Amino acid sequence: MGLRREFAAEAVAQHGRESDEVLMVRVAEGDTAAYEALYHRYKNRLLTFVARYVGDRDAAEDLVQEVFLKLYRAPAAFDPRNRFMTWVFTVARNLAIDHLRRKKPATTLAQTTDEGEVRIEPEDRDTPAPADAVLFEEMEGRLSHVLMSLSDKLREVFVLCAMQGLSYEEVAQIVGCPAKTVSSRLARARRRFLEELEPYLEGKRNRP
Amino acid sequence: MTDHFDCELAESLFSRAFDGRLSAAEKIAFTAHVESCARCESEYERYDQVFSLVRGMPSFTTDRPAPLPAGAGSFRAASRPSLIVRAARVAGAAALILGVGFVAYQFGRETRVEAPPRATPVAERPVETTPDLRDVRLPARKAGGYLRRLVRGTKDLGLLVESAGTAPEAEAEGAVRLIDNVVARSPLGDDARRLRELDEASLRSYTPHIRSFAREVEELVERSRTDLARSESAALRMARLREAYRSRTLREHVKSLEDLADIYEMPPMPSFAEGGNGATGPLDDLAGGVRLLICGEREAARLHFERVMMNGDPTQRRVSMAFAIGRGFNVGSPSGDFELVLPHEGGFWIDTPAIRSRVVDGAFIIEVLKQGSSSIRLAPVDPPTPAIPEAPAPPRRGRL
Repeated sequence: MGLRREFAAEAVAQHGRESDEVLMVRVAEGDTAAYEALYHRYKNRLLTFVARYVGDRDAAEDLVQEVFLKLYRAPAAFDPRNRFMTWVFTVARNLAIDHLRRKKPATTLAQTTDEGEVRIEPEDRDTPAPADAVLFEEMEGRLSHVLMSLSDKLREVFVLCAMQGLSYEEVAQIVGCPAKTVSSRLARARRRFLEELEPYLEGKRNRP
Repeated sequence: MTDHFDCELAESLFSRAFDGRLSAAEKIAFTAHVESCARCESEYERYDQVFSLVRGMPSFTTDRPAPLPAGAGSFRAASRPSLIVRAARVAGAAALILGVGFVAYQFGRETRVEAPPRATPVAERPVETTPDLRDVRLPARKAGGYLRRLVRGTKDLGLLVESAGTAPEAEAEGAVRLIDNVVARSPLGDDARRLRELDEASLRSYTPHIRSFAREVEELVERSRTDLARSESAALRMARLREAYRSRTLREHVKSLEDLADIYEMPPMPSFAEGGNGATGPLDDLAGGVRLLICGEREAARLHFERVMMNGDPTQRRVSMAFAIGRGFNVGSPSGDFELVLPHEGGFWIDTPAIRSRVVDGAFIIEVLKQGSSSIRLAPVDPPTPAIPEAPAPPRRGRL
């Protein structure tokens, strides 16, 4: 049993060494295992990005499914000369923008701050320590509120850079602007963030 | 330098400082200011805390299965892999069990696999394991992109070749088809060709090992197509391909070229300081000039220095701010950055005994030995085009 598990773990590690781009070549051949591997690599990252971007967890789930359907139906749309990660984030972003355009009249700050609409479920591997979990929970409400108060351009850069950890250059490719613009938008978004969080942070400081 | 560095400027750099994206000069000035200003220190500490927390916010997760179009059936039912895929999996598993394949496939290390006979005398090719930073040329980021994809694609191909090359006869046919497909779809050959064309056309010359690498990749891709199309047993074809792959110096090149691609792709112009801070440290004997070639597609090159000294006296560095070279390019900016900005005009040599560069304790230093704007000249990299003799003036009309 132990040996079997060890072997399986090694097999996973081996599979994990294949680049996204090679997996996409396999998807284009109709390899559903490669498709599933890509799905598991990216589903949570894309969901987090889209949910933060559109401010609606359920819609984000549907949009992420739509991203992968596109990928499955037309893998040739991906040019293997590009990085898969930036490409798939670009697809997700475009779908999110379309969604926001459709929903624009109905999207209000009040809706997005409704409890439960943007809910957080920590990943197993990222489960925070109990003390952090409380802090994250407190932060979550504020985070959603501030995020949805930002313009779309600032929000997408903030989510991709400050939350997802993508580099300026990667985000520049995804949103289609120079890296310098990404840098300045990120700085502006962070400034806004601090301003909005000021009362909250003060409250935390003064708390006994 | 801190004279020019007020709190407002420091605050404007918080975001990039947090992301580690300050230039060397900015970092020095920023750190100096924050360490000397209690307000900024406290503000930045808070900034750091808040956005570290934001960065650590957990991700959303979904349990939904991977979607398939309506009518495609359930994912599991539809996911019986093709013979090719199964072959590749078995090949990969075989490689694991036998401890060959991936263990043997370690780029940039001493190979543990017995070198097979080489089809071409590889020893004749120039092999450099580390880029010579004295000879750093600064091509377009496009070239860096090609290089990076080339390195990555070569790794991927090697991974497949090594794993599938151990497949038993029964599975080898599927493995051959898989690799054939990957080779056909991958941009490896195209990237190698483009890199070579850039080299020949606009960049004048890359370092020799990049050129050699691109040529080898082109050959490998061509060889793969030929070998895979042979009417031999699949296992034999796979063995041939693996041998072809191993017979090349690709693996030796890959690690150093990845580093070089990093340098090429660095968003602001890479500085010698950053390059020189690596393990190689070859910059300390650059007396006599700094060699800089700017790629044809760049608008300007910007070098960041960690220190500028005048006549060996570090206290005179402020003097050097006003120092101008050649055609009015400045070392140092009014804000105190140690920068040399070179508008692109096809590439320059800075080659003069009046400027010297060296590395001291990991810091890259430009040492100016003689003051004065006329003491340093920039010369085009290419030899000047001989002047075309003026055509004789046409005879004026009306006169014989």
